Amino acid sequence: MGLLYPGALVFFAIVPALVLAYLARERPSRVTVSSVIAFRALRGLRKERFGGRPRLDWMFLVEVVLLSMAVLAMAGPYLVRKSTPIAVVIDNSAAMQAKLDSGFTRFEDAIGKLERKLSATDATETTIFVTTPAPHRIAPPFDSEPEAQIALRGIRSPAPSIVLRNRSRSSAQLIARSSAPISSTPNFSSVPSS
Amino acid sequence: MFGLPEDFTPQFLARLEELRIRTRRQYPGMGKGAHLSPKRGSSLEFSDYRHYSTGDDFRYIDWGLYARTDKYYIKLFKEEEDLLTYIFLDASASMRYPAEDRKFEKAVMIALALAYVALASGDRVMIRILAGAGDHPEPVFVHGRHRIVELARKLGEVEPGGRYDFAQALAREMLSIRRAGKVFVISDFLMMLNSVTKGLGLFMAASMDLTAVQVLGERELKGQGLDGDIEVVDSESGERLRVAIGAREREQYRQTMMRLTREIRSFCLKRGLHYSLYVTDQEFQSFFLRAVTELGLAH
Repeated sequence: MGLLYPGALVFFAIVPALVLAYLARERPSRVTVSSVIAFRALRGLRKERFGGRPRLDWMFLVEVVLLSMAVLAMAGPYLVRKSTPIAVVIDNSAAMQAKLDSGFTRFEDAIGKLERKLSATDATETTIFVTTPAPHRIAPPFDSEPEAQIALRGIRSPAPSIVLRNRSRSSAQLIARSSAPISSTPNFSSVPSS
Repeated sequence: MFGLPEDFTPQFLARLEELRIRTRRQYPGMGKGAHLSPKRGSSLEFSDYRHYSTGDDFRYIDWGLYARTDKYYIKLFKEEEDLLTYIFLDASASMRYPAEDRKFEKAVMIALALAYVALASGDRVMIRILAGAGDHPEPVFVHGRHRIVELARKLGEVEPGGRYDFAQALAREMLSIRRAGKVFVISDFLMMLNSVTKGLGLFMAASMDLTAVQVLGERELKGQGLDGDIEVVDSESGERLRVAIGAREREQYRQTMMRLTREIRSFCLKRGLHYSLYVTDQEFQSFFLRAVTELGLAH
């Protein structure tokens, strides 16, 4: 947290002046009357104030609070929020179905590595993008790591017979468009099976 | 004169002697007097008949009735007794303020004038002081017009002060009153209306004939001397209020005071009680002689 204009805090010096003014407020002349019954109905009735010693005055407290808030507003406080948002782009195209020596597909291997990576980071916000059938974000950003992992396990890779034509789009483009609605007009082309 | 206030001139006392206390009902007294009593006695006021029995004074046999009925009947007459008069005088701190109005002094004068009317017509008077400081007169009945000097001396020793709850104080006083009679309550009645009504209602419950005399100072009624930003302090409770008094507020204050007096007056009149308002700027003698009916007196 910081202040844009710390110099404005000098106006807090008004508060002690206000307290002094409150204490030095002119004391009314005191008159003993037979009864105050008839005075209670007067429009000019004011709150009872101290007669020689300070008493709690709600108006004074309100004045001090308002003044403090005004001075703080002039100082322009700001709050720096520390967070580490992570964007993950997963290629879930058919090419990722190729088997590795370990017996897992590339996609399964990638998901496993990603889960381990997410566990190791202290990400406050995780956004997941996939490339197939069209590049899009799979859900609103996840606030916790378990939610993100569950979402990762739900991603499926399409059948190898379908090839995404526009898979060449860069990850940077996907992330840049993350805040905008993703176009939902997929463009597929079929390739002859081997 | 004899320790009485200056206003009690021989001429004024002579005018007071022409007055008598009027009651709406008959009360038993403690001795012979000029008020009809519910007791049977020997006045000229016919009360009832009863059958003659051996030993009755045959002078009271109604011979006309005997001629018509052939039976002996004795005429009964009402008794005439004195009236027991109670005067309750508020001596709380509120009667001291505003000092310029001398409310308590005027209230004492009213009490003495009422007491003199009662004493001069052969009635018995008991003055009871509510709150107050100094020596209070003993709450006993006095009889005879010469006792007014003694009452004046004792009332002169009472100093207004202290606070009290009107209804509770009267309830305590009522416990020690065993005989009904005429009651005068002299106070400024500057208290919560329900306290006043509860207090005065006690006398109604006890079948007393009540006259409420409200004594207010001219300055307190009109709000004179109050101006600007002031802190008013209640003389009895010590409650403080800070008020800003201008012409408009003073008028509002005056109207509130008038409304308070109207409410008490209305309460009294609706219940058949006598009510009189005395403002201290009024000339005392002319007020008293003019407010004879309001005070529950008669010529």
